[in-house]
Amino acid sequence: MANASWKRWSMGLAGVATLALTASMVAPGVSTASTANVLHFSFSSNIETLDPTQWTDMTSMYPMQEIYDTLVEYNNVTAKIVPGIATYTVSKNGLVYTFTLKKGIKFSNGDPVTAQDVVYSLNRVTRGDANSSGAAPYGFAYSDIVGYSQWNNKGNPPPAGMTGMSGLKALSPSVVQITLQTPQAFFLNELALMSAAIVDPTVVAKYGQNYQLHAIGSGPYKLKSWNQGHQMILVPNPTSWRYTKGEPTVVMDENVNPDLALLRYQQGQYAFDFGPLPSEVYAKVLSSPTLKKQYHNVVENGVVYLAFNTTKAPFNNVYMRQAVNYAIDKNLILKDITNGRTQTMTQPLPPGIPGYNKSIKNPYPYNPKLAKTLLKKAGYKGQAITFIFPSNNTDHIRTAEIIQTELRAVGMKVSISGTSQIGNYWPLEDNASGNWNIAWTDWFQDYPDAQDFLFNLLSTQAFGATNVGNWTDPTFQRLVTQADELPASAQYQRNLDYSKAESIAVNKAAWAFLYNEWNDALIQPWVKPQGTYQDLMLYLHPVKTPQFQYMHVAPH
Amino acid sequence: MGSYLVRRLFWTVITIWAILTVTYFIAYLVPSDPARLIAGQHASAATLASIRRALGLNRPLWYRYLVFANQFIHGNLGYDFIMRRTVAGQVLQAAPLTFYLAVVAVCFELIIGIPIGIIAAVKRYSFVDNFLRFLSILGISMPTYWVGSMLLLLVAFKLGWLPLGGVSASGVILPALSVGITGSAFYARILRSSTLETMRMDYVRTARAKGAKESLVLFKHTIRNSLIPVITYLGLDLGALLGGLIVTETIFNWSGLGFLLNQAIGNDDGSLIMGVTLFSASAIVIMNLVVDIVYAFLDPRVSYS
Repeated sequence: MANASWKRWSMGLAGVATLALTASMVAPGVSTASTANVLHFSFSSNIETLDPTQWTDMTSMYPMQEIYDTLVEYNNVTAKIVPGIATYTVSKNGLVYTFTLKKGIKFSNGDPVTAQDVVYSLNRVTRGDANSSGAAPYGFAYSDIVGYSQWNNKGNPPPAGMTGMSGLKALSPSVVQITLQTPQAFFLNELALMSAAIVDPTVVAKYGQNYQLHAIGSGPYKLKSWNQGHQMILVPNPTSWRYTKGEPTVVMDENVNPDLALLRYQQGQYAFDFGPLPSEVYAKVLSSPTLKKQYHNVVENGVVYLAFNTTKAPFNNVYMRQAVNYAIDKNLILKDITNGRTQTMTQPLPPGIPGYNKSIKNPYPYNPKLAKTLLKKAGYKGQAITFIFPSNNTDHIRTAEIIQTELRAVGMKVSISGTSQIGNYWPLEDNASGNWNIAWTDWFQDYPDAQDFLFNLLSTQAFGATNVGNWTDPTFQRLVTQADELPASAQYQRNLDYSKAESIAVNKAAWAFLYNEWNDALIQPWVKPQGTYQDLMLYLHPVKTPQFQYMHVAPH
Repeated sequence: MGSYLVRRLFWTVITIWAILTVTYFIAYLVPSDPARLIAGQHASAATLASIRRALGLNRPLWYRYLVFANQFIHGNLGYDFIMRRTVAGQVLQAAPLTFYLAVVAVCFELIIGIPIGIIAAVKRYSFVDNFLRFLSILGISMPTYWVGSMLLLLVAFKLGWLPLGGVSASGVILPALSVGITGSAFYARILRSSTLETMRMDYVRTARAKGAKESLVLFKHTIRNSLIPVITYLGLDLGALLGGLIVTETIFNWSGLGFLLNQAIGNDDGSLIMGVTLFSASAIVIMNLVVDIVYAFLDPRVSYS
């Protein structure tokens, strides 16, 4: 009897154990590719889209730059605009661009790329109803093409009978002509954005809303599989005009947390650990001689700053804004938070952008005494100040707390309020939630031109959107507008105008200037550049995502 | 019984409605703009306006709340703000993974917890008992994220025996084990005390008096009865695991509901937060209801008057 009980008990337990083990065997699985010529790595977020009409983010650029081609693109080494699938000429007045498609360019399904496809692609991204949630995020980049406003129809479906922008024409099966309303030195940069990627109209028509799961282009890679939110696999596209034998397969895991990504990298599963690396990961890099050797970095063309709500007191007063600038010890943030991986920002433009004013050097050194004097001058009487910041990252939280402490130390009544992401705040005039005084903001270039920073972040046209605090100044506005509308041939004059505008924004403390960030990555020693390319730019380019087709995996 | 059912159903509906309302307003109280989430930081004012119009975000909050509630009643949870995929689809894709992990985790809890509980009770106040009790206090005190990280580091990274996170056949073992180790301590303690209590019962003494073997007394008369609180706790535990594996799933990149929720919160993705929360909460509420009703059928002593 007793034995029977024991038996029954042990059988019960064994049953549970078997259940646990069998259950663990039948689980659905995500495959992990591990063949030789494979570049496997991860992102900490989703690959949001492969559709140019939905594109907004850096992560999606990794696969999109591989799948699609654009008319023009950035050189791998110089980062200057060069012909992509088309050569081009620009009229003397800088208004008419004529593109001639190179011969024999094909989509990965074999369809030839024609001028009509280019016209289709640009009309598609500029429509007011470009996708299910309205206008395409980057459609406005092409708003200077003649006929844009009628076609875009203020973000509504195009008027009946209209087939596209009048300034965008296919002159022959291989020639496209684009006419602008005003000259734009940076127009070609906008054509190199992923929003201007050339899509195949027949594939878009075939899949409609599900297009991005079947996205094809004429780029060096094609989509093999995409389990959204988990993993995307790209394979070399043999019909590509730049195909060479031996290109690696690319496997990208999505939503992998940074700690896990580093472990997988260290185990040799991952070829890269792309940054910006969180400071806890960077600390591990510093303490490991092996990782240190595999660490690479570049200063990004980006800015991290505090925007002031200038539509109301107290920050409509320049002394208040200057006081904040003097009250923050930027070196402390640099040393304590970012581990030296930033550099103090001196002006709205980052150092890598033409127009950067070298004569401006540390305009607001740490000076709490002066900050107090300025507060008095501004007549600040201890009104409550709300500082909103992105709390999705421990570095941001710690920095926000330091800033809060420093501002309180000079007498400002600051409370901090976290929101998940940078730049997600309701614009000022739109909502009661826009009721803030200071907002942590950042900006990374769309393209290396001063217009991308000064027009987008500080002009009146960007009120309620990218000019987060609605700051304005008449002279600044005039200078920037003037420089924006000069053709590329007048770059010298443009730089002068932008430099002058910069001084104004600095003197009037348009923002509290924090820092320029680095981008960095860990790269396995067995990932090698192919053929003639020997440049680190392949991995950490200032404008492009890594060029996987020019890499190969060495035996390891 | 009929009136009881109606009453319970009524309160179930009220509970779900309350969860919906509270979650909705909390999800939209944060100062973040869904249109910006969709359009990205670089979008122009005109683009933002177009998106707000398309999604009805330009309407007042109460109006959007009513629209959402109406959609929810019809089983439609809308689209998430980042990927523009249906929320219901994502939740249904993630739920089986969480359920699977929870079941395996509970198995581990039982495999570890039950023997410890029994041995501790049988060898009460001995060195073994004290040692096991020390272990279970240790187990309860160790946070899952720490146990999880350590398992990941030792078993998956250093030894390379199991995959480094992710969803795979053998990938479930470590996350389930890390929940199992910390959770088993509760079972061990519950079982130990209920076994000790049962041992003092008259029928146990009677069994001994009639000369039954100690093992028979233990397994037939004592433990069987001591398991009742364990089973009650098991129900609660499984419910809690279904909604609360956020940390474990995040550490191990196990793409279940907790992982999805963590992502949604990180992105301020109100519609996905709502979807996951409502799904988990409804599942728990409905499960409780079902359990209560099943009780009524199984146990004649339970009265629902």
